[in-house]
Amino acid sequence: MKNHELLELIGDVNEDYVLEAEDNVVKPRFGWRKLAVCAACVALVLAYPVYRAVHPPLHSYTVLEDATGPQVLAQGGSGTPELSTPEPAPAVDDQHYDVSVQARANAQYQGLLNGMGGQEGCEPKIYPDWYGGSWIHDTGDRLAVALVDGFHTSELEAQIEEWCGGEVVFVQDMKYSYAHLLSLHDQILQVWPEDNAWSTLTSIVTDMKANCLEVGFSGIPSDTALAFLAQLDPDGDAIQVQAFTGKLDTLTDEAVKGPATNSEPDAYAPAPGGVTHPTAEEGKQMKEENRAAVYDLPQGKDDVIAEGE
Amino acid sequence: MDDSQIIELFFARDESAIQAAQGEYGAYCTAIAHNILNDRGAAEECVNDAWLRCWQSIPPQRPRSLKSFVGRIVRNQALSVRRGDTAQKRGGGEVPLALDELSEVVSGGETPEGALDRAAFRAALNGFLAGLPEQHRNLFLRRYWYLDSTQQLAKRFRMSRTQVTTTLHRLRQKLRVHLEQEGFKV
Repeated sequence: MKNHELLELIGDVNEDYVLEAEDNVVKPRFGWRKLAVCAACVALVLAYPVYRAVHPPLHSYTVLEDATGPQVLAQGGSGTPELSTPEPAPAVDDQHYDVSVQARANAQYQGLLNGMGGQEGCEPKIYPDWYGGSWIHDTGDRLAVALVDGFHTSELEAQIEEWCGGEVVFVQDMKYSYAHLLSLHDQILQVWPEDNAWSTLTSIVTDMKANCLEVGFSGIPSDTALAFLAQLDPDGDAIQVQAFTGKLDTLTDEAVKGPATNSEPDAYAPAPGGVTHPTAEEGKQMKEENRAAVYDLPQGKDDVIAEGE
Repeated sequence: MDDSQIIELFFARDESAIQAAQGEYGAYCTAIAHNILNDRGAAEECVNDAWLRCWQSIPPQRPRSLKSFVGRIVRNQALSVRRGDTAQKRGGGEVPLALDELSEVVSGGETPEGALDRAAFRAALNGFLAGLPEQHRNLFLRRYWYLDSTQQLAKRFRMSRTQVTTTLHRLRQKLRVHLEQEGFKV
C-alpha cells in the first residue's frame, strides 16, 4: 500500500471521531501546584507581620545575678538563658598623668566642642553625624576623637585638629554617631515616665568607647521595654541592656566587668573634663609638693593619704 | 441556522443553502484546505469546488452531520488538487511530512486493483481509533485527517513538540501492528 492511499483512507473514518477531534481543545491545566506555592508564599508574607505584631522581637539583655557570684547569666531576648564566665577586665595602663598634661587634652576637648558649634565650651545643640564621641586618650596628653564609619576624610581630620589646636588620635569606623546614641537616650526618656513597664529602669549611660548606650534595670526588664528597645535598636548593638537581679547595694563594677586584674586603682580614661584619680604613691608625692591639690578620692583610699600625713 | 434547516434548503434546491452552509462552515473548510494546500487562494478555490460537489450530492444524500460531510469533501478535493500540484513540482505544507510519517506504517508496494476491501479497512481504522485514549485519538486525527502541523498540535494539546512527535511515532507503530493483526498486508 502507498502512503497517499493510507492518507486518503484515513479520511473515511467515523465522522464522530473527526468532529470530536475538531471540537476538542485541551483546556489549560489548572496549576494547582503553582497556586499552592503562591498561596504559601502569600500566607508567609502576610503571616510574618501578624506574628511580629503579636510577638514583637525582644532586645537581648545580660543578667547580673549577684556581685559576689562568679558567673554572669547571659540571656538573649528570645533564646534560652546560658551561663558564661565573665571575661577579665582589660589591663589598665600603669602610667599616671599630672594635671598639666591632662589639661591639654581638656583644652582640646573645649576646642572641639567650640568647633562643633558649642558656645564657650558648652555642648553643641546638635552634634554632627561624623562625631562618634571623644575621650582622653590612654597616653593622657591628647584627645581621642571617634569618627563614624564613612565620614573619615583627611580634610575632616585637619579641621578637627585645627579646632583642637594640636594633634589628636582618631578612632575610626564607629558604627553609630554620638547624636544617634543621644536620640536613643531621649526616646527612652520620653516613654519611661509614662509606662509602668519601665518602672525598673535605673540608668542610661552613653559609653562612647563602646559606641553604645548602656541601659540598666533592677530586675528582669519587661517584654514591653525590651520590645521597645529592640525597635529602637534592630541590630542589637547600639543598646546594651543589663538586668541586675541581686541586691542593688552589691552591684559593683566588678560584677559588671569581672574581677579587675590590678590590685590598686590606677589612672583610667575619664570622660573629658573629669579628674584622674592618682595612685597612692602619687598621692604622697603630690601632697608633699603641692598641698593645694586636693582630690575627692573614693572611699578606702583616704587611708593611703592619711599614712602620708 | 442549524444543519437540518440548511439540508432542507439543499433538498428544496434553494441556492441560499450554499450561502448558509458557507456562513456556518466556510472557515472550517478553508482551514482544512489550507492545511493541505498551503495556499490561501488555492484553498478558497478548493472550497468553492467543494460547495458545488455538495450541491450535487445533496440530494440524494442526507448527511447526519453537514459539517463532517463538507469537511470530508473538502479534504478529498484538496488532496486531489495536491496530487495535481505535486505532479507539477509544487509542494510545501504538511502533506509531504505526513506522507513521510505514514511510510512507517505501509510498505509502499502497489495494491492490486480490487484487492483492498475499503469497508473492512475503514472498520479496522475505526477499531484502532476506538481503542485509543481520547487525547491520542484526537492527536492522530488532527495530524492525519486535518493535517495540522506539529507546532499547531503542540499548542492545541499543550504538549511540547517532542512529546507530539514521540506520541505520533508510537501511534503509527500501534496502527501498523493493529492492521497486521486485522489481516491487512500493508
